[in-house]
Amino acid sequence: MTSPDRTLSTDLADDLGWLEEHARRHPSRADRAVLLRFAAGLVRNQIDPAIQGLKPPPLHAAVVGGAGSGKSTVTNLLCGANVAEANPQAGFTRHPIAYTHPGGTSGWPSHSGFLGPLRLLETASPSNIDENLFQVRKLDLGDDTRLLQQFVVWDCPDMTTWAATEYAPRLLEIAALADVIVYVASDERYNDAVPTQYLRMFLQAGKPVVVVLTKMTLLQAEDLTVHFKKEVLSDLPRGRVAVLTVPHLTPQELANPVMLAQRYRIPLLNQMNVLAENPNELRQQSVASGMRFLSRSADALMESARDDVTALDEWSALVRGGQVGFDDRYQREFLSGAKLYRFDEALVRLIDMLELPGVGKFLSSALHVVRTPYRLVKSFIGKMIGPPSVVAIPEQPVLDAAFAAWTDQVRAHALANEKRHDLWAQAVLGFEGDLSKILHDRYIQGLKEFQGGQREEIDATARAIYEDLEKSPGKLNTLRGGKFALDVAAITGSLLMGTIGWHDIIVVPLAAAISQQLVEWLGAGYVELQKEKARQRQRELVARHISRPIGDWLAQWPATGGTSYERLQLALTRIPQSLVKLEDAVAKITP
Amino acid sequence: MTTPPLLRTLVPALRGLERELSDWLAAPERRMPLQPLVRANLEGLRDDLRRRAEDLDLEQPLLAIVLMGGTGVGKSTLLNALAGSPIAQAAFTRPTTRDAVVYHHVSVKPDRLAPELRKCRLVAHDHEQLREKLLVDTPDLDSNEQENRDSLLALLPVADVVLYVGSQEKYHDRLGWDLFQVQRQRRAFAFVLNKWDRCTHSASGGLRPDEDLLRDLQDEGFADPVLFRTSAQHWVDKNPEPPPEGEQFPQLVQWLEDGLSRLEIEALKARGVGQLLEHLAAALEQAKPPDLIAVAAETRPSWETLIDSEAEDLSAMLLHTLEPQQREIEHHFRLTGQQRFQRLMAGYLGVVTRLQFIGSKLQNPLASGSSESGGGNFNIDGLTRGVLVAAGKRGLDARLQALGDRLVVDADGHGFPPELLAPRLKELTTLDWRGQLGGAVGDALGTVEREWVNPTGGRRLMRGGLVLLANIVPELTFVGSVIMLIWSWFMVKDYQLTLGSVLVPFVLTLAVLMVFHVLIHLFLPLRWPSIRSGFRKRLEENTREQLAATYLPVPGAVAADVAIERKRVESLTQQVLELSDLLESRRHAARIDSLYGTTKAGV
Repeated sequence: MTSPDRTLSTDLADDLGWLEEHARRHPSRADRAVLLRFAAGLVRNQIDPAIQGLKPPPLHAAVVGGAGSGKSTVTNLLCGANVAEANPQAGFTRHPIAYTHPGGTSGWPSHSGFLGPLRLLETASPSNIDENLFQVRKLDLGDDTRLLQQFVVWDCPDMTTWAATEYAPRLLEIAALADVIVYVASDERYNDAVPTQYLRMFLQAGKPVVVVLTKMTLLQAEDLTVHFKKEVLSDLPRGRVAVLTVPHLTPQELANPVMLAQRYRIPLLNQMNVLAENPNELRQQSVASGMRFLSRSADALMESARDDVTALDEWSALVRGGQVGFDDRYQREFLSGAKLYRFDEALVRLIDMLELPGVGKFLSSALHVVRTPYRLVKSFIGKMIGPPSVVAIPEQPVLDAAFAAWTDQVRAHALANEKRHDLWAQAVLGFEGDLSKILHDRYIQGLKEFQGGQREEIDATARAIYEDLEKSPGKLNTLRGGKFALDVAAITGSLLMGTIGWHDIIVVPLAAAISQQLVEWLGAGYVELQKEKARQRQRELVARHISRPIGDWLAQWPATGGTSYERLQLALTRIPQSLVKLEDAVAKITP
Repeated sequence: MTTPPLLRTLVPALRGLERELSDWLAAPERRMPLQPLVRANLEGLRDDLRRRAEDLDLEQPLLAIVLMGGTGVGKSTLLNALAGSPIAQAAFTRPTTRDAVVYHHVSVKPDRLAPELRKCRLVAHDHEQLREKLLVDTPDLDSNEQENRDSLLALLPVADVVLYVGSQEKYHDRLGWDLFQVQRQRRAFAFVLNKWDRCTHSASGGLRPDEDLLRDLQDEGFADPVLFRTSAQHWVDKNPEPPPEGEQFPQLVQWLEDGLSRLEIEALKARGVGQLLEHLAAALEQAKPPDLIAVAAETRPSWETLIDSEAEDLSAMLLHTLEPQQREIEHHFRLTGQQRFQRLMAGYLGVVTRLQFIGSKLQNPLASGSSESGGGNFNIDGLTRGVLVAAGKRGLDARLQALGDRLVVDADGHGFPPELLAPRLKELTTLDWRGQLGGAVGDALGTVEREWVNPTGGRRLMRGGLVLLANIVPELTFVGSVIMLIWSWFMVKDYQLTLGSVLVPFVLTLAVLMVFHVLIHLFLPLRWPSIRSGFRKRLEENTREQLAATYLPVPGAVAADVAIERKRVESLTQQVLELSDLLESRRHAARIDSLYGTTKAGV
């Protein structure tokens, strides 16, 4: 198989593992950690080896159950030897122990990534070492131990004692690996909530389960089986479940279960043999249903991070809101009142350019003289009723204040929510640390870029008003001609309207004034349009150089710099993708 | 023997405390919001307080011994063994017990029981030694039946002593252990390791369950726990064979019957109350708001600085919105300034001003009316409204929001909890700022106007002189020149009356008027730039006052509110401590220490 699949499963297992760690840090999400660990185990212990082409034998059988329910006894029955230390201390076994035959370890324990963080303990040791370990114990094959030819039997730690929170992940690792779950429940335990939750998850993942009910009196065995099916199994997902019983054993029987408890052992072995009839098929089914389980649980897997995702979203919305506020404030406090004098200069220049060159200058001068009363009246009226001049507000203080308001807003929100979620506490710490300074540096840098870019940009836009015409003499001359024609038409028109007389002293300048005013209005209208465009352009420039880069950076801030939120985002985006790809890979190997 | 006097005398005090706590918790408007967890905790404790008070308000207090444990460990079997008859249902199906059983003496009337117990199945007995004790069999805590756990949790508050029953399998299951760790803070615990027969067979490794359990309990601070190893089934079956070695059912019976004497019961009750009071004190400590008076004072100087700079910016913005109105304002000032002039001068100025302000939108400028009120024909209201609408467009709200944020951040730097401050400041931003600032703007305009109309010092003198002269000199000039003209006509021989000489008085008067106009212009300037700086100063002052009046008292007010709350919590704590002291004498009266263990620091 190709190596991309390899990194695929490694990544997925890593991501799930990281989410598990993350969930464990919060007591309220601890139960999510169970699902995450089991899912990670399915990926690395069952699906990945299958994609790599690893096939049974051996199959794996995991013996699981609550403390003191008789897991070790059942392990002994399965192995056909008194190997597991059955003892009355509840929760004695703290790490998984595999039982197999001398040649039974080819391939599987050395598969890379196998059992994730669990290390293989090389020397035989007591089963109560409380570390991330697993042991492999080898038994000689014989009549009694013939099951080991097909199955590696795993004696697992319990799932119910107060210490189990620490070592339940080891049990989940093995359960995920297992092709068959042997679920041991005593007469005290069979309706307990915690083991039942585990059983439910195993059935959801499509694992075949052999339930072994233990410790009841021989007389109660049958009733108890019925009761168990009715009370417990009926509420659980359907699956391949067989229910067997191993009634209360005397100490003598416990000491030698192979010989003395033969009558309970045989149905158990038969059941295992039926399941192992076609090992490849069993494995393939297990892999396929495990994959289905993963795909179905995608949402639940990421559920543990929901709080964080919500907080991240809230942060991002807050920052973006501040960004809009910043742009808005710049628009309102500065741009809407900005004068853009360059454009007024450009207008003067534009009108000047329309005057005739060369010989035409004399004509222009003549018209200029004729328009003297118009100019006087215009400047007088302009002073009387034109808008009074207003002192422009400088730009940088507005930007500075808007930026300060933005950061204050984010910071105040973080302060007010500090106790609600870790992200806000982290933000508060950030602001107390160097976040304010970094933001300010970024702002200053953006401001410089903006100011540099802005001057050019505005000048260029203003210049463009007349430069276009300068560059195309044809257009310019057409306009000049047009204006001249207008002037001439106005003047001749006024002269021709009736006889030439003294009143023409008034009419001619009036006509010249009207034509000039018309041209100026048109020019002013055009420049005003360009001004509006320039304002928009300037707003866009501020956004491009200042608010957008800072907004982008700040919105991502919690998820940068190797923080847990960065990893979280990576995990959350990668898990669904990995699941889809893994599904494809599994589909290829399971017909 | 009558009721131990001490416990019963506590009842009124407990009831009083409970009432006061209830009142405080029920206060509709909290000055300082309680964290949901703290509140839930306090409410639970209040209920406990009520329960304790009722429990103690009896002739003869009853000791409630509640069995707690996982399904199948043999709680019901144990009760049956104690009763000597099958009073509680015991069977192999799990979970067996769904309804709690209360085993009580016949002399105890059901109405003497706590309400939680009255709902249980009641079984009466006539064991004299168990007269003052209630044995309660409860549903399990670990099966798939969630309701069972709930009904157990509902019964636990009644318990004086919890008999934590474990079996070989379940003696340290997490669910039970977690519950034990919570409950041990509040009540006495004794332990039973049932199914002892299953614990004894030897094994290759590992501790015997009782040793393992003792070790766990030691780690939990129970150095010498009361632990009984029992095989209840053996006694229920009335098995003629001797019980397994080390079986301690008879000791359990003896402990229940004789070990828990009246003295012990009283001590247990007292200790139960004591524990409750301890928890209450701790919970109150947690709920107690911080002392913010000093911090509030500390924030003041830096808030003042912030408000100053905001006032400066805000007034600059407001002024800027005033700029487009400068012509009207100047016009208005000119008109009011000219009201002191009379006759010719007034007429001349009127005409000139009218010409000068053709573009002014000031309505009806020459209508009569006083300007003293700042109103008259000059519509300040309309002007300020216009200013504020413009200011609103420029993001007044955003500015105030930003000011609030800035103040919160600053206060946090001084250690003022932002969660207390932020809501208050948020409220302030929803105030009618248009109205408030409208007042500030209007007031500034009015003040500046008054200053112009009624100047002081040298300016006043100069104006007085100018007005006096301007009101007299033009007329005198006119009259004088007319007299001169008439005198010339009559007295001077050959005097030719020309159009020019007739015009002389008029021209002369006009010239005088113009000279005065120039003088007024020079010495009493009324141009926008100078009005503007006056405005600016006033506006800044007014805005600062307005902002300071609104924002500066907030930390102090919050601190004062919080201090009231704090006082109330402190008074509650005081009562709790007084009650605790009362109890102290009884607490160690009997040998019950081993039922509690020592509390680890931080647990």
